[in-house]
Parts: sequence; structure tokens; C-alpha cells
Amino acid sequence: MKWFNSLSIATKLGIGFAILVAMALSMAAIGYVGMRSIMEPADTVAGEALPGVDTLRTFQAMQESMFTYSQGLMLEPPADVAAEYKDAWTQNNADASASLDTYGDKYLAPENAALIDDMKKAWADLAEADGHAVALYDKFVETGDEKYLTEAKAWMAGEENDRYNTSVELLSKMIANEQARAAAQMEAADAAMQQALTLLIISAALAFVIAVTVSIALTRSITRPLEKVISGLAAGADQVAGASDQVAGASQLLAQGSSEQAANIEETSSSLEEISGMTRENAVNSRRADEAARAAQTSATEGVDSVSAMSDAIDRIKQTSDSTAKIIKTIDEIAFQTNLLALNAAVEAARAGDAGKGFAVVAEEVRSLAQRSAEAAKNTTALIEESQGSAQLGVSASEQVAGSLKLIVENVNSVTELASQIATASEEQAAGIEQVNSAVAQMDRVTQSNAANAEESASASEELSAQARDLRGMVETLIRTVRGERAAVTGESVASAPAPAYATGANAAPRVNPEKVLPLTDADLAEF
Amino acid sequence: MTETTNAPAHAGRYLTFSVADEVYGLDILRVQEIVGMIPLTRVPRLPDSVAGVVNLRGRIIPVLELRRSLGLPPVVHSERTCIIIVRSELDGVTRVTGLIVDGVSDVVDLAPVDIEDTPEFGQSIETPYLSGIGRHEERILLLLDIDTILANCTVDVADIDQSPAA
Repeated sequence: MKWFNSLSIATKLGIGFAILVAMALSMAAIGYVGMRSIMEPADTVAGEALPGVDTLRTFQAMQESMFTYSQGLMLEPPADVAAEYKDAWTQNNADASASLDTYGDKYLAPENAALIDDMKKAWADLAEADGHAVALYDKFVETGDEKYLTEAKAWMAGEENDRYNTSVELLSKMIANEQARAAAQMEAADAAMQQALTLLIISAALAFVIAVTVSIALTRSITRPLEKVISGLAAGADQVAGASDQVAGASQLLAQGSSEQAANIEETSSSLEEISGMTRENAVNSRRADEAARAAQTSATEGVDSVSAMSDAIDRIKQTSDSTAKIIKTIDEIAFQTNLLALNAAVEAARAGDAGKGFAVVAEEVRSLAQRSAEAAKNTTALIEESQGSAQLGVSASEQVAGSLKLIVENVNSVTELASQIATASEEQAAGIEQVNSAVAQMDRVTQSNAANAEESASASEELSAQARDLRGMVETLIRTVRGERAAVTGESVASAPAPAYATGANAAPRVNPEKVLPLTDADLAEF
Repeated sequence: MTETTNAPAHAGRYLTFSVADEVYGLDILRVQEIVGMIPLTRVPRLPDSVAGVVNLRGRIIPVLELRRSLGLPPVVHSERTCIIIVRSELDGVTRVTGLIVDGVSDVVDLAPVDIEDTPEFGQSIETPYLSGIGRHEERILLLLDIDTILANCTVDVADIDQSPAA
């Protein structure tokens, strides 16, 4: 019955209930037909036979009542009573006739069809006879002659009685016919009932079989997939619960981590602020250093110019000293030569002996003059040398100064270069720090959103857990619905449940293993 | 090197001059002239002590490098360098020779008390060129024996001047 199993539950139930309804309807039809077959004779009995009998009995009763009153009249009741009797008799007469007519019109049994005319005639005769008796009474009353009364009584006992017997005989026959008819109808009804009962029993048994089969198949085809779904759902719900727990835990950790990260980012941010501040200070300081270096360079250049001027002055001093030195040298040479001359003079004087004494004195004087000259020249030379030495010192000092200034200028240049490099680097560093700042800000935003997302995630996982619990609850409801109240198990994996036991409508006891009730295997059911 | 006996130094006037930071004395009577340094003409194939010849007022005079004669290392001549023209008699020939000295100082009088003989330095050490040691104003003067100096160089003078030095 794969095609059956592929239908929706509604369709399956529809089909199953349609089958059951069809069976019920057919049983109802059978019952209806049977009841109809029972009802017909019953109808006949109730509608015709019984009312007919009743009408006939009424006719008879009216007759009898009429006779009661007519005979009552014979007893010479008082006038008012007699009037009553006569009214009653008239009424009864009319009623009897009416009843008989009613019977003849409505309830006439086929068996009595031949008798009804005779009956009517017999009644007419009887009514006429009794009417005659009453007339005789009237005459009695009128005349007061008792012969009329006696005649009436004799009439009643005689002719009327014969006619009465005839009527009664006919009536009895008719009643008997009616009763026979009723009995026959009842027998027919009984037979029909028996037939109907048999049919109903058979159809009930068939219906039972079909119903059980259909319900088994239906239930199985509904609960089996449901069981699978249940086990799947339960397992899924467990997994979802577990997963949502994990997600909750992970979200918690993520939230924690995000908080820590946010704190770290705060620290990093403040550190960056510090660094940024320091960088700005660096840039400012390096610019100041650059300015100072430029000022130093200017001063150094001015110093170099001054040193140049000083060098020039010193050169001029040197030149002057050189010139003076030359002059002094000349003087010195002159002194030297003079000295030599004096010595030569002394020599000649010595060789001249006494004659040269005066000459020796002159020579001596000349020598001392020359010596003085030489001394003066020497002193001057010494002074000049000192001056030259000083100038040389000045020159070397100014050279040193120039060198130092050059060094200063060089250093200042390097400082300027370094300062500008520092400034550039500081600017780049500032830009870099800005980038880092914005990156950190972004990281902060991301962390915030991470934290928010983690919060959302945590709450979502809480919801998920709740949903999983709800799902579990619904699964349990489903289990209870599918398997019954006692089968609902909490915390147990539904997948491991044994072959499901379910209550069918036909079984009064729940948890009956259908395998035992109906030895059907899946293979058998698969053929459906 | 010919050995000659030193004539002992005697009192008198001495011309003091310096050679290699030492002050020497020369008998003024032997001195003819003192001139400053004048251009020197070198003559090849002469001993090292002979520096060359100079032209002094038309006269060609051989010049000795006294440093070399004394065995001292030579130095570059300065403006103080003088040439002492000395006269010597040798074998009846009057020779005029120049001595290159580092500088001349003074003419001094030495009394006999200021003069002493050359001290003995030892048997094998001789100072033939010193005629004595003089003292003047706390200074030691090495009194040169000019003849010994001159005798140690064999130079033939082209011209012999008999006229007194001017």
C-alpha cells in the first residue's frame, strides 16, 4: 500500500473514515431496508389492522352501548333519564354507523372486502330493528300502552336478537380476519426482522473486520512516520538544546572576551593617546630644534664671517709683523755686520798693539753699539716673534674657531636634517597613529558590536533553549498523543523506543500490542 | 793624521766663537778677519773637512768646515755662520785659511789664571787640537790650536797673500 502511505494524513484519515462511514452507511442502509421490511407489516398492523380492529371494536362497543340504552329504555326510566338514553342511543347509533363506515373506508382488510357489504347490511338491519324497538318505546311513552313495551321487548329478544347474532357473527368474522391479517403481518415482520438481523450481524462482522484492518493500517501508516518524526524531533530537540547550550556558553565567553577586548582597546586607546601626544610634542620639539639649529646656523655663519674678518685682521698683523721682522732682520744683519766689523777692528787693534788701543776702544764702543743694536733687534725680534706667535696662536685659534664653526655648521646641518627627518617622521608617526587610532576605534566598534551580538546571541540561544524545551514539550505531547499517557517518557531518547504500542478504537484496553491482536507483519501491510 | 805637539795656550786676547753649542777661543793674533757667510765654491776631490773656496775681495781662500775638522756632524749654515780668516805659518809659508763656524761672539781678555791645560782624559785619548781650557765669566772656552787644525788638511793654496788683511 505504498500509494496509500504516500497520501497525507488528512487523506488517509478521510479514506479510512470514508470506508468506515461507507460501512456504517451500508449497515444503516441494510438496517433501514430491514426496518422498512419490518415496518411495512407493522405499518399495516398499526395503520390498518389495529385501527380496523379498534374501529370494529368501537363499532361493536357503540352497538353494545346503543343496546344498553335501548334496553335501558325498556326498563321504563324516568322521562329525563329516558331522554338522556334516547340521546345517547341516537349518538351511539350514529357513532356505530360512523365507525363502520370509517372501517369500510379506511381500514378495510382485503379479507373483509367481501364481508363489508354484508356487514353494513346486517348493521342496517340491526339498527333498523333497534330503532323499531325504540320507536315502539316511544309509542309506549306516548301512549303509555304497555303492549308497545312488551312488543318492543319481544322484538328485541326475537328479531332483533337474530339480526344481532348475524351482525355479531359477521363482526366476529371480520374481527377475526383483521386479527388474522395482523398476525400474518406480524409474522412477516418477524421474518423480516430475522432477515434484517442476520444481515446486520453479517455486515457488522464484516464491518468489524474491515474497520480493524483499516484502523490498523491507518494507525500504523500514521504513527510510523509520526514515530520517526518524533524520534527525529526528539533527537533534534536534544541536539538543538545541546547546541543552544553550547551557543549560550560560547556567547557568554564571546561576551566576556569582548568585554575584555573592549577594556584592552580602552587601554590601547589611552596608550595611543599618550603616544599621539608624545608624537605631537616630538614634532613640536623637532620643529623647535630645527628653528634653533637654523638660528645656530645663522649665528655660526655670522661667526664664520667674523672669524674670516678676524683672520684677515690677523693676516694683516702677520704681514705687518713679517715686514717688521724683515726690517728687524735687516737691522740685525746690520748689527751683525757691525759686530763683525767691530771684531775685525778689535783684531786689527790687537795686532796693532799699543798704537791700536784708541782704535780698540772705538772698536769696543762700536761693538757695544752693535751689541745694543743687536740686543734691541733681538728684543724686537723677540717681541715680533711673540707677536707672530700670538698672531699664529690667533690664526690657529681662529682656524680652530673656524673649524669649530664649520663643525658647528656641519652639525647644525645634520641637526637640521635630523630635525626635519624627525619632523617628517613625527608627522608620519602621527598619521600612522591616526590610522591606528581609527583602526582601534573601528576595533572598538567591532568589539562593541561583537559584544552586542554576543548578547543577542546569548539571548537568542536562551530563546533557542526555551524553544528547544518547548519543542521537547511538544514532542512529549506528540508522544503522549501518539502512544498514550503512559508512554510519554521525559529525558529518554525516543529513537530507542520499541515498536510502538497504540490503542485502536476497536480495542478497549490500551497498550495492546497489535502484533498479537493481528499477526500482521510489515510485509503484509506493505502490500496495502 | 800627523801628530804635532800642542803649543800651550797663553794669556791674551781670544776671539770666542761657537761651534755646536760649545764656545771655543782663538788667539786673536792669528785672526786676520771675520766675515759673514759668503758664497762657497766646492772643489771636488778634496777631503770632507775642506768645504771649498771663497772669493774674498778678489782673493781665493780655502775654507774649512771646522765642525768636520772637530769631528762634529755638519749642519746647515745659518745667517750667523761666519768665516774666520786665520793666518798660519807652516814651513815658512804663510797660509790664509777660512774656518766656518756657527757664530762669533766676542773678543775677550784671558789672564793666565783663566787658562788651564787641557785635562787628561786618558792615555789613549788625545786632544791635539786644544791648546787649553779658558774660563771667562763662568764659561768654559775651548782654546783651539789652530795650527793643529790646519795641519790636518793637506791643501795647496794657489795663492799666498803676504799683504796684511784689510
